[in-house]
Amino acid sequence: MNVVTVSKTEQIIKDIQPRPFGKVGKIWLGFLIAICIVGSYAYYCQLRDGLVVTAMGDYVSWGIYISNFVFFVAISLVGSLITAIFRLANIHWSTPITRIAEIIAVSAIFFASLIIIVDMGRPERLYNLFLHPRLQSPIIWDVVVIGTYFIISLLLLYLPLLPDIKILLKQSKEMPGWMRKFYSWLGSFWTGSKVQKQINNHSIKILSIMIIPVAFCIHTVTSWLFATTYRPGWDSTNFGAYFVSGAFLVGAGGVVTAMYVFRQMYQLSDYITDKHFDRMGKAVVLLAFLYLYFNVNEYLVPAFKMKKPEEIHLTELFSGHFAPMFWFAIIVGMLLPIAILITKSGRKPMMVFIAGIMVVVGAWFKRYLIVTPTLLHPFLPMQDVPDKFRTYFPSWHEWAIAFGSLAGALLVITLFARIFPVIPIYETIIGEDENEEHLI
Amino acid sequence: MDNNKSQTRREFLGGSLISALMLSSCDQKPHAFMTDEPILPSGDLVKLLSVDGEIIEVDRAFLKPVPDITPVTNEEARIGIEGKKFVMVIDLSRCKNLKKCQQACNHVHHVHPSQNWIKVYSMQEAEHTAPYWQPTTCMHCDEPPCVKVCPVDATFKRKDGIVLIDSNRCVGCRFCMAACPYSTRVFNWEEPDIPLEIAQQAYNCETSTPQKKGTVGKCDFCPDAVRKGELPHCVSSCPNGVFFFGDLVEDSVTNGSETVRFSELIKDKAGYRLMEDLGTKPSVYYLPPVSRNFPYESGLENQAPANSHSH
Amino acid sequence: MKTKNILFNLSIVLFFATSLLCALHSQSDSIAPVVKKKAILKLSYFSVENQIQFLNFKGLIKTKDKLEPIAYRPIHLYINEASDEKNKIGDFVTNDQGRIQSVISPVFADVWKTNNPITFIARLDSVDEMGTLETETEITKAKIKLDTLFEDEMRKVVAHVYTLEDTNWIPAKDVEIKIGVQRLASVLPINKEASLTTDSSGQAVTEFVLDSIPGDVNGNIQLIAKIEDHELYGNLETKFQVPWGKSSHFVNSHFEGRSLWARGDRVPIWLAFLAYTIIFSVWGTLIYLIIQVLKIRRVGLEKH
Repeated sequence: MNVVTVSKTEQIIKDIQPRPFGKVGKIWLGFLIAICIVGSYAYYCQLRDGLVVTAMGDYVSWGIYISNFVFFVAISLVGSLITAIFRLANIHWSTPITRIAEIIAVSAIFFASLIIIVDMGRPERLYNLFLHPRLQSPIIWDVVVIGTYFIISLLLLYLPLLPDIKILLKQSKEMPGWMRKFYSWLGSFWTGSKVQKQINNHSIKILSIMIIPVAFCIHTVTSWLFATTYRPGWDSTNFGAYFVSGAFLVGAGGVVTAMYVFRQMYQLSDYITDKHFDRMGKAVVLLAFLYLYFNVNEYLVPAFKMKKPEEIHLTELFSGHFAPMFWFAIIVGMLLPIAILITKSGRKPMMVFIAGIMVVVGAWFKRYLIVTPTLLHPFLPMQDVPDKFRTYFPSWHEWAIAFGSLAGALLVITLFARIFPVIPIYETIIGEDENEEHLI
Repeated sequence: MDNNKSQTRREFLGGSLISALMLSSCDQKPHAFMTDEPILPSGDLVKLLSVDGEIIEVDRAFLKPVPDITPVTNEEARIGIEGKKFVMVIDLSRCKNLKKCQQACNHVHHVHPSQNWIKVYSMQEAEHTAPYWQPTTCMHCDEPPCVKVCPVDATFKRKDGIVLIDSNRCVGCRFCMAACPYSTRVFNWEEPDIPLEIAQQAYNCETSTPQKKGTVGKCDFCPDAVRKGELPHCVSSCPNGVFFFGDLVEDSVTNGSETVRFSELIKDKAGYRLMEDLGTKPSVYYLPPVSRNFPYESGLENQAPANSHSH
Repeated sequence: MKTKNILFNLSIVLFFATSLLCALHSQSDSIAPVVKKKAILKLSYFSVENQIQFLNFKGLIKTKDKLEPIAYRPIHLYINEASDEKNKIGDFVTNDQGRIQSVISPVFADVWKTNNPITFIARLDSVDEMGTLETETEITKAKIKLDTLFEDEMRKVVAHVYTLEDTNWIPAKDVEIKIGVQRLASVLPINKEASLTTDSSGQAVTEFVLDSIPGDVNGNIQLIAKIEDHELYGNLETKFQVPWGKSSHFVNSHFEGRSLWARGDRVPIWLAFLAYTIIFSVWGTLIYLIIQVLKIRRVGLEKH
């Protein structure tokens, strides 16, 4: 421990500690808040007039709210990937990005539950889920598992933060008063004693193990919201694995994007190095191949048989109305990122960032394609309904709320980065320590 | 046999006037439906003039004019009518897309303009198969996929086989709509367009009125009408006798003018159910469109306006 | 189409001469001519079990191709003669379907006994612009007796119809009568002959050919004989219980059992076991971890 010089530790703290927003940061913050306000106004309209303000109808009864929900749930899976799977696999290089992954997970899962309430026709009756729960319904499973995942993610964010809080409380003299108060409330009791460290490490280890099955559950259960119905495109035994693999991909894409942004904004290139981008790039390639594999399963097998209800659905996706979006999601969301990241020169930070954005955008459209086209291809023909129910294009209210929720999630991440170090300070110091020891 | 008969006769004669009165007067409509539920005497006796010119006393509870039946409680509505299992038979050979069923249903239930609980589909399975008209109600499945997925018991399966919705419970998640393969459920996207006096009534699961904003609605087999000894409105409004309704336990269905044994009808005309392969076990049976009363084309004139009416 | 246009133009020109306003007004009138309204009133007499008798009224208004019930209107029923207030059975208000129903008070015992046939009158106060509406029905008193018979190894049902002549009940012949089994909102004919006609002795006989028809728990079924809308006798029905049915005891296993489509409290055991095991083990661990956090806090505070 003493091998690390005091100045080096101080340098780390100085580099990583949260800083007030710069000009760009303030513009970004204002931009996000503006979108959130527009989204909130749209939701107010929806509460006042009912879901009629959306473009949904009796056929497309789930629209971009639900696809956005699935997207959030998917991206939240990354927390378990980076912090738990890598940790258990003894992969140490991921330490600097664990907190980024966790905060993405927490804010995404929070907005996933929020957006599902937005989708409800009677949000004020939410208490019925607790007053009259039906354990038979996959929605109840989803409520339970999302709640559980949220708590686990929160703990997994909080526990590694404790030593950092202490360090920052001690070191940073220029910390604003409100922040100092908040920090004290959160973790002034941390002394860094052996007993505390022991309990903390033990708890993190349990959490890391526990979060993996719960993370699989959350996305599998979400896939069952669709797979437990009879509809073409949803009626699939492949759905759980398909969703989980897709979630890992979009989560990894989200993390590399965030990594790049934080590295640029906070000048963290000493901590989030090219090596990290190289390795995460490889992980994205692996996960993209995995998701591609499940996509082939999901589409090729029913397309081979072309059962009547599936036929309309699949031809609409492959060559019909949804074809441009479908091929966009496949090519931009999977094939191009693979092409970029498969070469060593493609795994430079900037390229990884671009590929990450492609993955995330492709994934958002993929979720839309999972939800909506199926609802437009019911078993009985669409007759005796108003014309507006035969098609679906989201209304401005829906766009505003969907973008509002995305902006909200980014806002939570941004504010978190303002208050807390986006890279674990304590673990970085320890890591440096170990590196030094290895050198000796 | 003779013994048996005379015994019955004695029983009947000994069965007293009261029981006969109770049976006959519990519902004074010509098409009386014998409810199996005991009617509780109110203790308030009414004197009335009998056919013989005698003065007889009848409990007021048995005299109640049919429309005055008090609405059942939510608990009763969730259990259903004891000892019944309602079924419907839809004879496709008689349907010419008149949509009287739809109009009557929409009117009685105050279904939101442009939405329909009953739909009449123009069906044609394949290029060289025959087109036909197919009215659909809620299938009231015995293993209802919609009920399976409801998170709050807002839609439920009753003892008598009817699947109903409690609009005071529904949270509006619309999972049931996604789960129903028959696309039978509709959603109240906005404040229902209904007269104030209807909107102010307390919601009743059996009448499904008044519909509430942000909740799901669908065909309810009109259990309120059935309790009164009347037929569901689609059945009574169809001039071609397409819809047969009845009780599987009684093995009898009626379209208002013809009453037939359910088992014989299904056997003779090879009745079937929709999407049997999904395992939903519907309570609605269909008779194939063979030896039709009307050519398919006769229904086309009704098709265009009703299919594109928008509000 | 062309002639219609010409007529249309002509009418415009014609009315233009008087005044533009008037012309426009008339034009709209000629497009939607005054619809003729027609009231359809029906007063029916019912006799159940030859005991209880009551009257049903139903009123509809026909406009063009629409039938509307005469709903929520005051209506008065009279016996024998409408001119005498003494003969008023009662004042009512029609329901939403334009119906009312009334029994006959014992006050009219004498009127009832001394008149045969007897007339019932329904009178509606002014309905829209149609003024007072009235309808009446004349009833000759009649009775049905229902009995069973075992003949030629066959179960048979016999119905006798009698009508009152002076003070004697005499057989009524050529009366159409339906015999069947009481079912939900309907009568299931007991054989292929949908309806029968009484012979000169006022009797109608029919064979009971319904094989293993479900009855109640004891196998009892209600035979019913019905005369519907007879021009003299009105509506009569009587029932007779026979143990000719199959005992039926229906238990809906879908309702009672535990299943995926049952109520929340009837969740299948395997699902409840699985779900609660997972929930309790995960949340047990979570609570343990939260206790650990509190322990870190306690340990830290102790040191201070």
